[in-house]
Amino acid sequence: MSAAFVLAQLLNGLQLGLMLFLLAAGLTLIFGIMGLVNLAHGSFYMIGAFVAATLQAWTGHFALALAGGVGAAIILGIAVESALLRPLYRRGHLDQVLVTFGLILFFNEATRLLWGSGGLSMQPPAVLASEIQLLPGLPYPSYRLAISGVGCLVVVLLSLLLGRTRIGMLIRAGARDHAMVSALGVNIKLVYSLVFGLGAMLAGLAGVMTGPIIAVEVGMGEAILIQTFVVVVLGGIGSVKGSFVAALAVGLADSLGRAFLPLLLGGFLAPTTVSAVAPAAASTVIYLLMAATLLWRPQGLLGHRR
Amino acid sequence: MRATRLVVAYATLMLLAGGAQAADHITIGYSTTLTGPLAVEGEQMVNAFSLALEHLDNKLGGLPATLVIADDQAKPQVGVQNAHRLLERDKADLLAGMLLSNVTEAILNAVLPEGAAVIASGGVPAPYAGKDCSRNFISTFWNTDTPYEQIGLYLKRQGIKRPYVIGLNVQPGRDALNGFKLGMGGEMAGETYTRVDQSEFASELTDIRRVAPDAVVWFNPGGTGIAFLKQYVQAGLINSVPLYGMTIQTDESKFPALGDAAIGVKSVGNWSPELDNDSNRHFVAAYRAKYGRLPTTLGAMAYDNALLIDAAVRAVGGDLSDKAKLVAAARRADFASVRGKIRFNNNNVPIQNFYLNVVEKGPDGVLRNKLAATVASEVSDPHAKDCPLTW
Amino acid sequence: MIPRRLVVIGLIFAVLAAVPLYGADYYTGLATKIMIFGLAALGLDALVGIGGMISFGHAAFFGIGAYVAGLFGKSGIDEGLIVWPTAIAVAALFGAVIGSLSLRTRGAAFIMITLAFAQMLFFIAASLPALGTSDGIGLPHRNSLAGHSLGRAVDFHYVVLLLLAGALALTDFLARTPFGRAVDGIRQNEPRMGALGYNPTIYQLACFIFGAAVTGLAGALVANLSLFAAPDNLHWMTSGTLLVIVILGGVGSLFGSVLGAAVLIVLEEVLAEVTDHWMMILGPVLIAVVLFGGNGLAGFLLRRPHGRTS
Repeated sequence: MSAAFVLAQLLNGLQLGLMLFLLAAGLTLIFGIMGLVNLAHGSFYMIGAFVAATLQAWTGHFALALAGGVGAAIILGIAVESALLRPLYRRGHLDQVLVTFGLILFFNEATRLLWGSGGLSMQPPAVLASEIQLLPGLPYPSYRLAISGVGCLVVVLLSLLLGRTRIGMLIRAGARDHAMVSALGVNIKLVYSLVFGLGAMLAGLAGVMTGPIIAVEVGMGEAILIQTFVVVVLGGIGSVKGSFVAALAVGLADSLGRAFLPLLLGGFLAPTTVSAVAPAAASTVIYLLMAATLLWRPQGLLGHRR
Repeated sequence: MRATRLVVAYATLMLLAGGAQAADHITIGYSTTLTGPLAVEGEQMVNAFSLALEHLDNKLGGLPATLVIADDQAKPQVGVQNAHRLLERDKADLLAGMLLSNVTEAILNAVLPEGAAVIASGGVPAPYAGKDCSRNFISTFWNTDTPYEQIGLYLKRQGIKRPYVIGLNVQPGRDALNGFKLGMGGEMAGETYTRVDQSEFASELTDIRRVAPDAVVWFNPGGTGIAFLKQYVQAGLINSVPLYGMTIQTDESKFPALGDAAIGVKSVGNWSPELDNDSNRHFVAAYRAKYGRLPTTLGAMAYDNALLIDAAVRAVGGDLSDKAKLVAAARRADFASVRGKIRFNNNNVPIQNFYLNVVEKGPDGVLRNKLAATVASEVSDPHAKDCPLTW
Repeated sequence: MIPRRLVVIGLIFAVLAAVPLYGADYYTGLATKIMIFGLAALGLDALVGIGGMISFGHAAFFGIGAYVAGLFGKSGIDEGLIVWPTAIAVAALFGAVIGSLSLRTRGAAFIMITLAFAQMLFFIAASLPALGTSDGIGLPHRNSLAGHSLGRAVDFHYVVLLLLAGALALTDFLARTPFGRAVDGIRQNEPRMGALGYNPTIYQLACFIFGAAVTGLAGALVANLSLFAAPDNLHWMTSGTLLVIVILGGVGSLFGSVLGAAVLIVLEEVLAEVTDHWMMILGPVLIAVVLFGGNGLAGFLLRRPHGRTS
């Protein structure tokens, strides 16, 4: 096993982690500030990818598709927030879970009605279509590097937004104690809409960016949603920094688990046993990570006790 | 009151006559997947089956036919519930269709002991191709390990020494790759099973690059398979390590989601739109005229499904009361399959040819599977020898 | 005068008992399915309605029960008196482990953690060849009861009916005991109950285990209904479905779970016949029920005349 192999697997994990962060950042803020459990967050991811794939097929431009996909996610996010979810903030989690569960059913079926059940195809932009030689013996798809680049950029911009601007300060304060913020006379409704729009935007961005490497299909949001939940809980609800750390941890654990567990188990188990057990073991790695962390810190890595 | 008595009298008469009467009508209970990621395949099946009915003047074996369609949602338990509804409420004379082999297995477990007839076009669950084969069940398709065994034999002839196998971690996936190993023999360069909802394969592809096999054989017929193929192409592996799978993973229904990533992909299947026989030409042209695209393999199997029922009902003279007799008539039926002439093995699975298909872009800019070679002729599946039925 | 609640419950069971007298096996099977999902949701309602714990991973116990029945079936043991108590015990055991870990958190985190644990079990079931991977495990035939075959749909229907009635009575009884009242008190005001000397986590854990056990029994029964244990039984969509049933029926009403299951399953049957896109209708219906529905069907049926509510 070469160093290049290990390095490539680390890059894979990093990239998966950054994509998870794009989804988790919005979700954790929405939890933290509005106290809203949003199961339909994956729908924005899906809509972003579908709109982008459609635009790319029409125009052939990736940049246009990116703008359109992200824009569609923002518009849908704000529309859903103001029309349906706003009355839910004061309600219990149970109502929130069910309404957003209903939204998943609706969005999935509406997408199928609009685009058919065959899914869509999206291509990376032409300049990023090939692989590049990172190190001797380490070719890597350049589009995957671009995904990681976009992920890092979002991390920087988001930390600037949250750390250096007035609105960011309000958002952070809201995540800590939203009653206090509204008591101070802040237009909390506007903050809510902004945060929800921001979350939908990041989810849509993740959908567009992963569109070229996966199948753009109905239900794509749910598979990644569960992993995102793990990230949010692991990082601590409401903590964007925590989500960042947790996203990287989950991305790395999942990728490295799939890469190295079979090799590791192969050291002392028969090949047939390995092929039977390794996939099950690899798919539970992130959940075990979560369970272990919660035993140690019930509020998550960087969460506050509430 | 009088009417009731008349009915009773008539029923008694019928019983005395032994019930061997031609029905005046036939109801087909059609079960497939119409919601979720597999809906696209189910839709092709329904399209093709309906098209066949149209071609047969909405009659099967001369009897006016009613088609009742049920969506199994790709869940075994829903499939079983539907099967009971179709048989009991809708009075279906037989069940047809079927897509996922695990749903089919659940349905067969439930309805065969009750004496129902199932003339299907879906994947045959391994037990029902082998030791549990039944006089009441027949399918126009295959069981998944057969095409993979053929891929193994083909790659061995091509001089492949170190293949890497990667499959979806589901029972058909394990069956398929075991079928491949059976055909190929020898050691695999690597063997990986991926999670059902996994759409990120960077780890696995990096591992393939590390192992540097001389071919990769894959099984992943769902949406995650599209992701796998795209990432395989993007990683540049497609140019250095040839990739082989079954054709239903890379056919017409997948092209919208695959796009140009599909070009050059090789696969093995039991049917191609290019097969040169009257029935196939008629089917492909009519399907294209009606639905604006080429049919898929599963569509072709569904079309055969209808033709097979038609021939069987005709052979028994419209007597639908003896289900085993109906299925026996089906296995002997002389019908114009879109695959040319096919026979059924003792386990009621077709003995059929396998072809190598390669995806190419036609002059019109449309993707299609080009029939490149015949891989094997008159193939029996590996389970037939375990089936105790003789005819 | 008989309390209205008892009258409603009596009517529900009378209807369920009458179905096999009129319907074909298919309708009997549908009614059996309604009772089984009602029983599964009853276990969840004990958690949500009485214990105030919103689990989005309750399908875990449904699936565990189903797989216990499947594994027994595979090894040739089909006596319900062995299979069903084992299913209950195994589900309770898993409930103890998952519950004690999950109860380290509250609120939204609890919802997501229960979901994550259920997904973990789903992936294990869907990945391990010993559990049949995606194929699940088929049962060769239905469990018998004390040696009597339950192969006929009608016999199985009445056994499920009795089990459901028993589970409902037991849950109802437990809710009225000091234990149940303590759990209910913790749901309403956890700090106060803590101050009164109750250890909230212990009480909630006991409630969690009880709910898991009830749903585990339902899982063993659903495997018997379709002769199949499938990973789908553990899937998070099943968890969502169970929550929907609880909400439709009326949170905390216990008997409402049966009504919720009836409405959801019949609705699904009817809508699926009309259109393949039935989920597009079900989704908004669900949202409307949550936003405007009050306390579900039980709330509607028990509402006093002249607009007064209790």
